[in-house]
Amino acid sequence: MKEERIKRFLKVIPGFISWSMLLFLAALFVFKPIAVAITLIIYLIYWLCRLLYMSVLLAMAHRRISSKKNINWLDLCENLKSDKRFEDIIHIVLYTVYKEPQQVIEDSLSVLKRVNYPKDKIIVALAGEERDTNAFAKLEKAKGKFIEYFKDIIITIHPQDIKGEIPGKGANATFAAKRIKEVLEKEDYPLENVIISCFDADTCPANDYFACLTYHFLNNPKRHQTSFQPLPIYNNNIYFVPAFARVMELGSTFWQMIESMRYEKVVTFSSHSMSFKTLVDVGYFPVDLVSDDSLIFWKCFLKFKGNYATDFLEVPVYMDIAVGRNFFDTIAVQYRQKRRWAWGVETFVFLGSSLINNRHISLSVKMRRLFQILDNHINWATWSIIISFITPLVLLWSRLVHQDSLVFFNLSYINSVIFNSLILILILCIFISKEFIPPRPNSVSRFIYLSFTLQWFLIPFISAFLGSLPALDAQTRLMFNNRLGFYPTPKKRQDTNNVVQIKKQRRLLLLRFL
Amino acid sequence: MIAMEEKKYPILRKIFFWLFSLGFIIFAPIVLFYSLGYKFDMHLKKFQRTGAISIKTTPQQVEVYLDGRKISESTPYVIRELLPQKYTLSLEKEGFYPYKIPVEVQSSHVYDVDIVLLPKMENIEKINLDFNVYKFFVIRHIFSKRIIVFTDKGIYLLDEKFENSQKIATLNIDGPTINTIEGLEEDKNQLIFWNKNNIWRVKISQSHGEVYNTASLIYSTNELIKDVFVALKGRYLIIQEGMKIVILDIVNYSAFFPILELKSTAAKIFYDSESETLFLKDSLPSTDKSSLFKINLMEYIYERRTD
Repeated sequence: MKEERIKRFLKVIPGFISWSMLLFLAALFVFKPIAVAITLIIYLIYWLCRLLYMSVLLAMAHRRISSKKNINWLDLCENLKSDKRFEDIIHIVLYTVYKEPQQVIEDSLSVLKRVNYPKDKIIVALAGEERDTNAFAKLEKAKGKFIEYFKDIIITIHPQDIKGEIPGKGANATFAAKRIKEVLEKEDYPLENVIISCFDADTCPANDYFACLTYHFLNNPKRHQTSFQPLPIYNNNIYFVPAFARVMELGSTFWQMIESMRYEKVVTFSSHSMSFKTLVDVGYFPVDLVSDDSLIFWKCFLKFKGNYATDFLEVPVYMDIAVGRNFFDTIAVQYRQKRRWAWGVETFVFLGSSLINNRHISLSVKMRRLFQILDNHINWATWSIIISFITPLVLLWSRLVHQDSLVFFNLSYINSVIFNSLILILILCIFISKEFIPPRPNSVSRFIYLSFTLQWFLIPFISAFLGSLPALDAQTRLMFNNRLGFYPTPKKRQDTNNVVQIKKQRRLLLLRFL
Repeated sequence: MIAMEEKKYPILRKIFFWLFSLGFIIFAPIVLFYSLGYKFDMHLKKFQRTGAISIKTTPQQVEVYLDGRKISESTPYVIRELLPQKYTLSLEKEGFYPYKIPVEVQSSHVYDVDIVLLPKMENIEKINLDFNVYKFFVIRHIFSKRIIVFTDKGIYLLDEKFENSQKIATLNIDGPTINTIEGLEEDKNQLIFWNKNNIWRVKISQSHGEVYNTASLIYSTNELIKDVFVALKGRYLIIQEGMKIVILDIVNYSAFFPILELKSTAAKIFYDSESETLFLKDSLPSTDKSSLFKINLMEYIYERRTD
């Protein structure tokens, strides 16, 4: 009962702080406009410093990844002196599947079969859902096509309506992991030699991913107290999605790059890998919460009394940009996806309630970790609303009412200086994003590169609506105890050549008509 | 090798973290104090609150002088960190009259100066027609303006830029009479113009040939014509004449109707042709007070019809 009350209290905190910040500014503007100007000046300088700092981290992360591009990870693995032998390591690649088209699964398996790693050390697990009526047939078909390339392909179908679970990736992955454990034990594979990579259906690992992962696993003495996080690059369908969706998803990639430089703070996100033994020891992925990808890290963190870390790999995995049926549907899909990610704020409740009575972790570590989550989520929900919405509104209003006030006059000046400085950051983003753009299909016009450059200037306009607003939405739902179900992002692969051809024909017809 | 390289990143990150944190700690109070108008006076060894002058001019690129000292070569410009007192601001640009303005700067306030400089009148543009011009009127025409010019060779229509001119009518009125014209209305391809006792009408000639319409006198009175409005779909003129209001049929100008007797010599009328409403300021009966009246002619017409 007491624990429930604590959880309820913790649920209120993020939303309360975010809303308080926004409402405080609004109320202050009515009663003490000069105080708002002062607050905004400090806030803008704080964000300028923070953004410049993040840009440095982004540049460092980019340098770190590019400097290791040409490393032969497999060679390193084979020659590494470790307490474990490279040959003994087995990889489980777990794909959670729910309503993804056959093509998405087969494309991912095609990429997997081409990776630079001995395939006889890779067991693929295809985890379908009973809710997806033709899941078994779909996965069986994929298994039939690809079984010859891997050591084995295990298919599991997660039953629906299991008590205590919410339908989603975590529950499905846990069900599959339990079946995998049975198989591994039956075959007498020591669990401490098994690495599990929990992937979305559209995740395509880079060629050296498993070699790099194995190297880091073997080279890390605390390998069972470490998760291994690749850089998720959302670019599989980059040529066929609207510019705003590209910006949002590449923004997420950049955020992960920045996080990768804050070694002690890195938390797992989306597709990642870890010791299978650890997964079993911590009782698998959470089944009753939405943000399974980060919560598994915190479960391990608690299990190992705070001695758990994430090792950021230098090799990426490639994923799809969330896209809808049309432009407006893509906006809705992006919004729902970002809201689900922002629902990661539930980790604050999970961790907060778990840490209160935990005597094994020091108070400073507890406070730092909780503050880290709170800081990330509150800033996510408020910064772009304050910078690109509230500040211009305050400036507009002050121009009418407080036009002779020096502090408002200077606020406008500082705002313009900061926005000009942001252009430098945008140039850095343009430069780095070019590295993540795959080769252009012949069917796509080269003018798209112009769009790839100009798209970054959309940030001030979309960051509030597709960045902060979904986060604020998630926090408000949590605050009012309104549960958010797992939203599976729609994955679809367009018949790209056909789509482009049709568009070209339409454009020609339009030109002729004009 | 890889581990060695990995070690440098956390160190670099910490250095940058403290660098930017320090930057914020130092920079934020300085910018904040500066924004609030505080300035450290090195001589007095204390902070003083200042104000600013924001200068915008039309045209831009104007030299700015403060108390005779050149401050800036161009505008827009902001003079900051000014102690609260009176200053004289001068704005100078070649080809324009210098502009001086006294400015009282208050602490934490911005004195906003937004000035249109007056050009020195040189190379004044002349109409490219060799006529004796008696009178002219500028009228609104759709989205632009047109100029009606009364000359010794007839009435001309000009565009604003003086680029196109077109003769629209001949005149059979002598120059001194034309000089007495007080008002002009254009409606439905015709011009109505008047002086104190007469009203003329001329249809605008559309052809560019030698045949032009001539102005005809449609109304003449011994009373004083104060105002004329085109009314009721361009068919009638509403005339304030002496102590009465008369309505005159423009086409059949033998038909005219004295519709209202005015009470005061200070009475004033305005006719809104869009709503076909006559507004009238006149004295109230048996008092010294004036009031405003409104007559919607179209409503009157429809009410009478239904009656």
